Amino acid sequence: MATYLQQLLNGVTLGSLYALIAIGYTMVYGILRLINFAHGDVFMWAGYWVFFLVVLFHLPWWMAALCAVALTALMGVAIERVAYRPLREAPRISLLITAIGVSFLLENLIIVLPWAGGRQKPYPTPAFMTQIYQAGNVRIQGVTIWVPLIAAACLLGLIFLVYRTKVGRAMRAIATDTETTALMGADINRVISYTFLVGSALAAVGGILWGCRYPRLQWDLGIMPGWRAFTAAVIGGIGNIVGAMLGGFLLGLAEILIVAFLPGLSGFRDALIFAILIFFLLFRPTGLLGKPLKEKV
Amino acid sequence: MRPNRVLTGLFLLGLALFVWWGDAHLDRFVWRILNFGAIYALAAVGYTVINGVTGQFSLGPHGFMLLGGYLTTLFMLPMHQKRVVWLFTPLSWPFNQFTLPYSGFILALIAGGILAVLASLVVGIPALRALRGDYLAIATFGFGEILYVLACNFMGLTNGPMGIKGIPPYTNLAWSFGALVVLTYAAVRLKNSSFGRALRAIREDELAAESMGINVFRHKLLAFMFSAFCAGVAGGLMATLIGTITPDLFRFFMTFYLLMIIVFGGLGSISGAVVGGFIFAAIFEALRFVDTAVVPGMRMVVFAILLILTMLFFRRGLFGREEFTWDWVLRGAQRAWRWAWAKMS
Repeated sequence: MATYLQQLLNGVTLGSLYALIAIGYTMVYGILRLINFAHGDVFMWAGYWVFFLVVLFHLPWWMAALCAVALTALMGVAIERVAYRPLREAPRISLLITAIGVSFLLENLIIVLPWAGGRQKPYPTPAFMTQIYQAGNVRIQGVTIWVPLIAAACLLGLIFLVYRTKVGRAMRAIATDTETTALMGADINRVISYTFLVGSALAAVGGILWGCRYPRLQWDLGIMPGWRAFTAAVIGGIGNIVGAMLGGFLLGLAEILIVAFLPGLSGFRDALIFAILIFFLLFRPTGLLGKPLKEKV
Repeated sequence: MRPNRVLTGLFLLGLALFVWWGDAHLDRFVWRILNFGAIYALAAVGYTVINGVTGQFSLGPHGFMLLGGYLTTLFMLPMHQKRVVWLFTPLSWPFNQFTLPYSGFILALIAGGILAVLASLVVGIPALRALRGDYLAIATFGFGEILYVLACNFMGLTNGPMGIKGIPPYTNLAWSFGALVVLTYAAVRLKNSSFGRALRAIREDELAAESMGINVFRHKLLAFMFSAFCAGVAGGLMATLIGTITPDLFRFFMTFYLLMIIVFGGLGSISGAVVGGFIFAAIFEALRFVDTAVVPGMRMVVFAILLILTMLFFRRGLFGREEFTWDWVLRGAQRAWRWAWAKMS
């Protein structure tokens, strides 16, 4: 029983991390119809920002974390401004190729930077995250409590932003019909910048918490979590924010359960993720919560 | 005989002489770059047929190269090496029973290509029917990653992440340029046939093409199979050029390289893919000093920035969608001649 509870908690932790990353994919896809290849690497950079700020500038952890969220969010906005916006009118595939370029740039910048490099770095984890609480015979690490709580707070804030504010209404409007929204006087570029700001900030929260859970930093750290989160977004129905959260939790739970109870399969874990992704793309491209898309002629 | 045919014939003759001379006398460093250039160009020619000419965005050629590379290796690896490499898990049947002599190299390469084609059917039949645009890209990318994971885990065939050493280095200029010429010729014939016109029609407007009576799915699938064949052969050549193979040799960065090549050469231009392949191989070596002198990994930063800049400011690429023609060269030569004549008199 205790094992089940513990694995369940682990699954919820992992799932809330995936949910945080998946939001960024799904929001950008909803608005630009772009699979932001670089999103996983933006997520990876957040962990490195914390590392830089703590190790190089000796900031206290909480301040470093806040600054890292801000820096990563600005990074997302800058990427959109420099690399994606000039291609707004170009074929969508050009946008995707540029996104692949940005992804490689972000990964290799880490390798090149003198304080980071290609080798693993230890992530500065604060004490309250590693503290262990004992309840009966269930041992719980601080991470397992804090990560879902912080994630839940962020996701609630996001839902408020999207459904109860003016910017959020503009985002939903653009996702439905960009041109009409522009005609209604909404500043499309500003709203898209906001979308990248919010998406990258959530990815940053995810990246910082991910570091607390798995305290190793490496340049390719963002790739697989990025793909898993993308799969989560597809499972939930891409473009659908609540769906991305649902997909994240489902995928996190499934992953932990598979690793815990079918350890023979864990070598094939990444292949399994992609198989699920392809399966959904082929047979249920709108995901669990998405509405069926009618093809326009 | 039309003059263009004569020029092509002369060019091929010159190329054959150069290859014959080069395999014996060329500086090994240049020789290696030319081999890599031809192999990249070969894979890029196939890649541009599906990505550029047909407009179906695939991100999976590294998976097809992996299949071709491993199958060719398993056919050509000498028996004594087969006994040495697989330490933990014995090599699976039937590859522990035989090995091909050098005369079977062409069979091994073709087998690698055919395996890649079979794999392209596995992913292509469902994916090309249902998906397009970025969803197709993701599905093919996922397929490539699945192949990577399988290559890491099927120890009995691939020896896992440790890879296989001691592959006889059969690839030389004759093989790499030979494969490049044959498959480029096939690609050009394909593009200029009614089949190729149908592919371009699909790229421009799938719905219109379908309503003109083109079987869209069948055309896409054939283009995809052709590109997989090229990638498979290129993978086999690359493994036998380098002499070792690991799953990491054919990861996503390989597709990234090919993407750079066809984008820079001009999406949809076969000439662009060939020229781009050689330019890429040359720049890749020329920038080696950046990696050694500045900091390892800098080269990839430069490449990533180059790709982004190409997409932002030079989306047409070197050739656009056009092809190299002798007429173009002749006109240029004529102009230069007139200009020089006017200067002199």
